[in-house]
Amino acid sequence: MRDVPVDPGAGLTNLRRSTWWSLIGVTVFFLALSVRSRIMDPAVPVAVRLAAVAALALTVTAVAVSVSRRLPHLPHGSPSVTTPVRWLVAGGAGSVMLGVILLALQDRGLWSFGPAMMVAITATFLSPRRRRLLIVTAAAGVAVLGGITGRGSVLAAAFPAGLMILSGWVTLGMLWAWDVAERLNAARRLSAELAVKDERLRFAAELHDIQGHHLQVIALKSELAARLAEADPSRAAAEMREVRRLAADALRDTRAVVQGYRRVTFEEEIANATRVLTSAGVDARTKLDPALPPGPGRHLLGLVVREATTNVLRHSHARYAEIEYRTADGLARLTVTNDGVSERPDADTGTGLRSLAERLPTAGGELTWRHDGDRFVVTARVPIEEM
Amino acid sequence: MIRLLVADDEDLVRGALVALLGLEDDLTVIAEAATSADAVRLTLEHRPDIAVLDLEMPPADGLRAAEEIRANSPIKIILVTRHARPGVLRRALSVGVSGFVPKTTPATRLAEIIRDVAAGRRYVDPEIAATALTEGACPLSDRELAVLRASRTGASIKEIAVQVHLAPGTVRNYLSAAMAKLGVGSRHAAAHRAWEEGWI
Repeated sequence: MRDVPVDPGAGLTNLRRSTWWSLIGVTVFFLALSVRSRIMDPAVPVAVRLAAVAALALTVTAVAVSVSRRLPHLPHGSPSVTTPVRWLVAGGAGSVMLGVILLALQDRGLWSFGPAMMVAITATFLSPRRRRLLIVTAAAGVAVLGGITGRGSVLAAAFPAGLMILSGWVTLGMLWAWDVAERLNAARRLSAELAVKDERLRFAAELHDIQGHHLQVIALKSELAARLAEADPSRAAAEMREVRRLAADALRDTRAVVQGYRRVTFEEEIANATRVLTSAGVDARTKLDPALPPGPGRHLLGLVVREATTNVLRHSHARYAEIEYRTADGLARLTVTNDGVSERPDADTGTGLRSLAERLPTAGGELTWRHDGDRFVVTARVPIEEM
Repeated sequence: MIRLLVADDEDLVRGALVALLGLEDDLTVIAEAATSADAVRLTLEHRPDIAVLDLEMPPADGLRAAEEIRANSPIKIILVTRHARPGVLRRALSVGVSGFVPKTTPATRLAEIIRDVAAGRRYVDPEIAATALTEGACPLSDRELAVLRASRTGASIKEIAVQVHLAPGTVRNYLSAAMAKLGVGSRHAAAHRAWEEGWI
């Protein structure tokens, strides 16, 4: 009974990682490309080169931190994305400084890339309308700046503006994909939660039906017994025995509801049987063919495993037990063997196997058991088409 | 005469059980206990033939009491439970418990089971055995289980660390590993699930 299905969000975790690395990778690559020749250039004053390196480092760090904040870690983070104002401001300052240094050194190409990335990342924290406003304003700004420094050259004005819009487009696109994926994941989680809630309601209703009925009768019968206690003690005792039986029924039915709630596969059931037998000091082994999809026959075989295991535990001094499951010639065959033959055949063991033996033919199968020397062998056969 | 110790934290249930078992000619209840700690102490002190222990019994539980008793003596044990969680039977059998029955068992039937166990046989209720087969595979390590067991009392990380003789940081690591394996959001949810499955 899990609260919510397990969702480690592995796919989303990978998408987050890939988005982060793509953005940081592109930023580092182009920024390094844009300043590399200037930093290496011995003609440029050392102070300017150092300032460029510092501005580069600051911008890259700010981009990395801001993108991390924008992509919340799963599964906890989803709705609360806080804007890292200080990092955005610091990164903005760094990138502007980088741009100014490059412009001053007569760069006419990638100088606007640092500011463009910072603008794009800042934009991802804003509402759609403000995003557009910010990017368009920034593009116009760098176009004017580029035009002036480029002495009116159209390319010098258009290139930085284009770079600004392209960076915004790509960055926003990647984060948009991330947001959509995250929203889908949230929706999926919600529907899983809803399914669990529905199931709980059903469970509660079923439980109430069972308990309500039994308790009502128990209350009535107890009252009757209390009043009969003096007048007719033997009838009172009979009523109380009835009450005891009803209470036991109520408990058993309740357990049945709870057990209906648990589902394990046939293989798991056999594995559990082996483990339980092992812990009881029995040398338990299994031989398994791959199991078949669930069906009525599979359910019956599950019951046979239970019954046979219980019998080994209860009645025999078995040292060895073997559960074998084979499919051949259109038949699924389950054999449970143990070497501790029951010393005194108990009435209710027989009932368990006997009632199963009556049920298996309804699925076209049969259940047999026999003593084979010191071994007791239970065999169930069910046609595979009934599985 | 078979000498018994009966341990159950619910006084009414214990009282009724002691009275009903006392009606059998060949059974005698020589000691009663209301906690798992008392059950261990009194069993080792009075040396009954069989200890009938309630599974759901504070402060630890009947299974832990059975473990301690079996570690110190060959006294036979019958566990009685209200609701058998899947993994419990396996653990009970591995500490050498001889009988495992639901609380709905009528006292006269319980008396027969007690005689069977006294004669060296084992008794497992069929429904409890059936429940045991529905156990989910346990993904947790022994250390993780120990830490979750300690956390069930609502203890703080520091208190758990003292209890299991580990550093608080290590405890935190085990808890988060357990949470991740079980796919739950809190250590309480993890402990609860492990308990439901009968792993702790």
